Amino acid sequence: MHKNRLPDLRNYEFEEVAFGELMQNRINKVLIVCSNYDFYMLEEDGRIDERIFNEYTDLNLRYPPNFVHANSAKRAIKLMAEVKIDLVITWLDIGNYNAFETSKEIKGAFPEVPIAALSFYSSELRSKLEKSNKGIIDTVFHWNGNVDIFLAIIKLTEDRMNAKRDINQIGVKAILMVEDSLKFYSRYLPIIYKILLKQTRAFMSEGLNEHRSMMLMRGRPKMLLATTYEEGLELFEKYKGNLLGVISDVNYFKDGKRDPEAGFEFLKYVRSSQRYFPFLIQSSDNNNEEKTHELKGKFLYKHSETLGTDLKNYINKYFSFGDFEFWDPEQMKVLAVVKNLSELQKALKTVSKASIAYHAKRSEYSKWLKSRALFPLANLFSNVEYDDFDDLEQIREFLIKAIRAYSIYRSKGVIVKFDKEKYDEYLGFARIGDGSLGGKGRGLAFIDSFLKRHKLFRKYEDVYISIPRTVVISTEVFDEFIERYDLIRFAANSNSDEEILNKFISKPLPQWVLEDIQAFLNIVKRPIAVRSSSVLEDSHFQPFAGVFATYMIPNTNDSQMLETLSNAIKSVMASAFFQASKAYLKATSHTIEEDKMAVILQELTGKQYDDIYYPNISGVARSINFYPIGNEKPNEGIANIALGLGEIIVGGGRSLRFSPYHPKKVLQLSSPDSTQRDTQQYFYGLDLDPKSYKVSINEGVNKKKVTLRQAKNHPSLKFVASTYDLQNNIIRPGVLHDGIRVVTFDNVLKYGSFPLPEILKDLLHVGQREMRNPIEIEFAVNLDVPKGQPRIFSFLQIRPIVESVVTNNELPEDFNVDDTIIYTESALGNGTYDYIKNFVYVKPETFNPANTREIAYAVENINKKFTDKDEQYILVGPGRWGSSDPWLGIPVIWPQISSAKIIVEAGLNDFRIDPSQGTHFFQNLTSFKVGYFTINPFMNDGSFDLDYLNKQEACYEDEYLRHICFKDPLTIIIEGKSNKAAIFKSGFKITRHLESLENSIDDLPPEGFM
Amino acid sequence: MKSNIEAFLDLVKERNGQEPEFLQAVQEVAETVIPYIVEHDIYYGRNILLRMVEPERALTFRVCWVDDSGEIQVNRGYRIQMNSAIGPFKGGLRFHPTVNMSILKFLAFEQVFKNALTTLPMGGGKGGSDFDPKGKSDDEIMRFCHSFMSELFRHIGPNTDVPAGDIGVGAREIGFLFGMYKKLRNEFTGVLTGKGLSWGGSLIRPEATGYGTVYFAESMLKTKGEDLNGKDVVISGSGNVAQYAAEKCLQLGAKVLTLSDSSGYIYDSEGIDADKLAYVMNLKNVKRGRISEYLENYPHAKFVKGKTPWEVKCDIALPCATQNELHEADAKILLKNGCICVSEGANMPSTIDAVHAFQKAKILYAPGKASNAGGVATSGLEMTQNSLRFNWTRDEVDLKLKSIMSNIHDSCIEFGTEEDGYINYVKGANIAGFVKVADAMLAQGIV
Repeated sequence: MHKNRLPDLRNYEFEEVAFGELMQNRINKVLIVCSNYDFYMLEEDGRIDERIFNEYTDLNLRYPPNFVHANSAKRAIKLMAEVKIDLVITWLDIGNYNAFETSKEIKGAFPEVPIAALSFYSSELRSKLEKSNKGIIDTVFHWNGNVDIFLAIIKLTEDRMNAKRDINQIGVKAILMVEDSLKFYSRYLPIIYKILLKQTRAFMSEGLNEHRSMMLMRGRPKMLLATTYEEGLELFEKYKGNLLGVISDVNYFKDGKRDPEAGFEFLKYVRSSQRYFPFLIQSSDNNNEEKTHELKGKFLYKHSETLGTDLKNYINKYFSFGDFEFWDPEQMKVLAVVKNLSELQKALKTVSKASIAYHAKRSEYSKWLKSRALFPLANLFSNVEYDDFDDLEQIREFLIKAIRAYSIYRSKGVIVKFDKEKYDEYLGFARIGDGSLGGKGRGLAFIDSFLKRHKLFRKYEDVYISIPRTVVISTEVFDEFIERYDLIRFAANSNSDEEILNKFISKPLPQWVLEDIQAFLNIVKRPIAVRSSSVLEDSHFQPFAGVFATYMIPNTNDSQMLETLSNAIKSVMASAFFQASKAYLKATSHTIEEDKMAVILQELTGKQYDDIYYPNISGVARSINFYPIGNEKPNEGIANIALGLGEIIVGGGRSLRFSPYHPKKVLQLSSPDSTQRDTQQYFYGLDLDPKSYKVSINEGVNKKKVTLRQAKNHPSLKFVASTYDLQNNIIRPGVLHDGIRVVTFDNVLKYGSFPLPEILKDLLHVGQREMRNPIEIEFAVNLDVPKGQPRIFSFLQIRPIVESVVTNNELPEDFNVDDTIIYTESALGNGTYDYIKNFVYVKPETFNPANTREIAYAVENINKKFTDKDEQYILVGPGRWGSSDPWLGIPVIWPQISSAKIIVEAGLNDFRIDPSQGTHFFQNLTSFKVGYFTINPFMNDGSFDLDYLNKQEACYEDEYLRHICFKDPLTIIIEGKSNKAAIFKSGFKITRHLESLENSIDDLPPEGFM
Repeated sequence: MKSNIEAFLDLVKERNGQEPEFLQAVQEVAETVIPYIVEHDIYYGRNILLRMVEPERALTFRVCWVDDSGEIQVNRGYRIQMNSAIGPFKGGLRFHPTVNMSILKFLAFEQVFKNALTTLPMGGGKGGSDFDPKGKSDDEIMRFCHSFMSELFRHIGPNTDVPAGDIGVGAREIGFLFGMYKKLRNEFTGVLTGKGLSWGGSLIRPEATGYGTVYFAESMLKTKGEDLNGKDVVISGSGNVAQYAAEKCLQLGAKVLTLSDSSGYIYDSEGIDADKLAYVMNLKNVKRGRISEYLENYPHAKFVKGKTPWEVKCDIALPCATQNELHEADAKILLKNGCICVSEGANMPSTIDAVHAFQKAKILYAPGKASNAGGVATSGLEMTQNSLRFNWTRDEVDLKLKSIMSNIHDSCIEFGTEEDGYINYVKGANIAGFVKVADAMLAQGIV
């Protein structure tokens, strides 16, 4: 027999159900058209508003409708012109009130608005309807004085309005009822709706938080009503992929006439293609029971005293409502009863093979999931045939793995409310307590949600992109802890970080928090990062990043762990009151009370090598590049990556810089020489010795610095390192050869062993669009995973790039080049400098390329003066600064110009040299945020007002150099996004029209940045 | 005599006015060589220097290639075939944005004498392109090299012109160039040097300069009836040249006292033995640490911050770090401390004043152009091995290197011995190279 290939669960993409898009059409306002009397009866006696309202709230439904009344067609139409009416309900047979005519007029004026009619006398109505009703009244119901029917009418109308989209486009399930007896369906529908809504309440527990539960409700099965064979067949054909079952009368219209066998015909038709499809025949004739059974249907007697209960039992059993029962098919006894998905997964591990097969053959797993609105998983199951499996154990394994994959999938992008009973390995992001998540926590939640929205988790083969498992201890816990021990007064008054820390450590966290943390620890296997997430942190204009503490603790999985972790949590909380934080708060006009701290517990991405733990790649990427070189463009962004923990990058250590758009063009790897000189020589890892973590104000207490040589046997190197071959003077990718290891990431960047550039391109692009601002992200990658498992890309943080937000890094629109000493359109860097008073330039008139070595000494001497005074200066000279060839520029090395904040490479008329664009000092330029300008005024590339400078009095002058000490600082602006920059003449003031804050926040990033 | 030099330079200037670097190089050579020429009628009468300053052939050509984003790029390629009187043109290819005719002519002119000095049959040339390999992808480099060679291949060959690497042209680029040459010519010959070991490269290349410097020192000492055994040696630097100079010193029985880097020098009074040197090699090459970390393992040693090692008493000094690292004051201290021999491993490490001090004191002083010629020599040895279709072992190459250094030394003695018997190695090196080329040109007639 032909077997289909089973879906690959590792890369399976569940189809997201857009619950938010379900039930788009709702009945909010109902117009009841009847005589005043009837309405009075409804109002006063029936209290319809109140009763419907109660009904709704009782069933946990939102949006109860309002009722309005009109007593004539004219009034109804007038009212409908003023107020949006979603449904009209009228009475067909009250006195001389001409309902048909009224309805016809209403329908004529508002053809879109559905009209339902109620009638006391169902039997007399039929012939009346057949004659007069041609597309005027949509449904007629029997009125027995029970307002429940209103609920059924509204829900049935809503279901009909949403059926096409919700069922066939989104996959919501439905029950088809074929019944032409007004009386019966009017009695059935309220019963079935109540069952449906109750079922909905049961599966709401599958929602991971309140919001998700509410969303799930929208996925409740719908009811479809047909009154003739043809109508039924049409609905069946249209929706059969998503039908839970059919409930059918026997005797109704077929081929234009009443057919006493119509129900059986329908059943036969269904059975011809679907062996196990639930089909319930209900009839007022008991004799039909036998025939029903022959046709493999189920039967209910319409006049049964227990019709309601019988119907409920049938629906629960055959439409897979209620709990799932595992049956032993031989002894026909229940082996296990499961209430939810997690129980189902557990039970699958233990029940007999025969039982698994029994339910699989009947597609009962997918049916049960469908009726619980777990559509993505149900769809996966329903696409797999029983015969596709080799054996029963394979089915068991498949089901368990699929549930696991789904559990992980559905927790993505959702902040789960932490429940210590339910917390399991599949939950990615949970929150303890009801307070705020803090800035970093919000950022993580945001990342999680947009990864899901943009389907980025599994976009790349064998790569899993996500945030690390995270639990946020919300600010509620912080508040409770601080208040209970009255710590704020103490912390505000103490000037000793140690003292504050010790005080915090001495107090226990609330018991309920400790219990939750223990539940977290029971699941987590890796080391844990404990990060601060202040409500003020990472907010758009005040970057608190790096002000508060982050601790990392190895996971010892023993009784000590709870104490260690809770100490780390308290240390982070205490850091809100450390001196550095207080100073920062003061500087940014915040009070200590505003600074509430959530604490993030996060699994550390990486792997253990020897006694340390670290990721194969850590990195920071920015969506805007202020130092573009070669053919890089500012809006292509830039990344810095390193082996080991990200501290090395954040702390300004050596990392590898590359553009995600040009990953094969890495300046640092241009030659074997530069590769050895400019790449990482050491990295940081977490010391896994439990003793290495101590309560301390120093967060680096257990981070270990490891040299590449010490790590020479770490398998991590094979993913990121290359080898220098001395005899051949060449860098060989990988670590297959003997030689000196250098961290080049060649395998990733040049040979595409991991799609890092593509991932970064995606994330920077999407992230920038989502944030509506240039962004910076942090990430970690674990490439060293067991065979067959996906590599992990952990998205750790996102924040807006503050420099790009501050608007005064832009040159004034209408400035005059004559007001500048130097203007260039080829500048590296970004920012406004308003503290530099010193201007040093190489005198063009005495410059001679033969003397560049001497000029280098002169520059060194002057630089030393600035270094000693801790002042900075502008340095202008001809040719390539730092050239190794003294003919081409002044051959300085970095320490000789280290205090220069702006370096200008100026071509001279008789000294036209290809500019270096700062490549000699690139590492220094970027880490010290030095501006580097290139100008060639003789070819109209930028301007340089030498006469202005020559007119100024020099405070120092020698054969080659001139130093001008301006009285007031010069204004220098480097507009990073356009590579333009200007040094304005002394005394020049910039006037800006500052936009209001609201406008500037709403502004989109500049063109080209989206 | 001055007027001779001036007249000559004026003429050269007139013809090469736009080439300042080239003029500067010619001037330097002219100043040392013209007095010699004037003394020897045969050179003077045949306008030999004027013929030397004119390249036999200078090519520029278009190099088009397509970058990674599909854009067409155009660079300019050059090959200056300066002089082939004593052998096929030989000299590096330089890929750097500042490459132009003037610079290449300057380099090619110097190369003629450098090569001649090695006593190997190599003429002089230089080439390259204004292409900037910095920040280019491997594929772009490859496409450029292929395009570059698709023109250059017509003008070179194992018996015509054998380019090597230079700035911006390493083993990777040589590989791409060689691949295209081989494809176009349909032959595997030694047309380039600096090849990979498995496809025609030679051993001992990283070691050659350091080893050669020590061999040269040894030859110099021999003229005084001395050798390296038991001598105290001070070495500056800790890169390749310094490391292998130290290694050879140890092999020859000397005691190495110092090594340095830009942060200062370490002084190990017990001597840096083979184990300690291995530690330094690891420290500098693998760990890429500072030389001061030597003390972590050998705490008895001394680290002197921010200074050069010339203040340490020694018999022999080997400046192997960088240019201008040995000043006049340093020279005086060395002399005062009894240093008898200075052999330069780096390019121009001693300032002019320092050189004068050594010469005035009449100690053994070898300028870099002679004592660090080991690097150039191995290029020649690679050509020889290619011609033989045979790869020598390390020891064989090392032996040849030793013999070449000894030959260079002999040439220096021949042309540098002053009337009082003092050997002026600077003069010797300058003239030896010139004479070898000039004699060959005279023999070959006016061509």
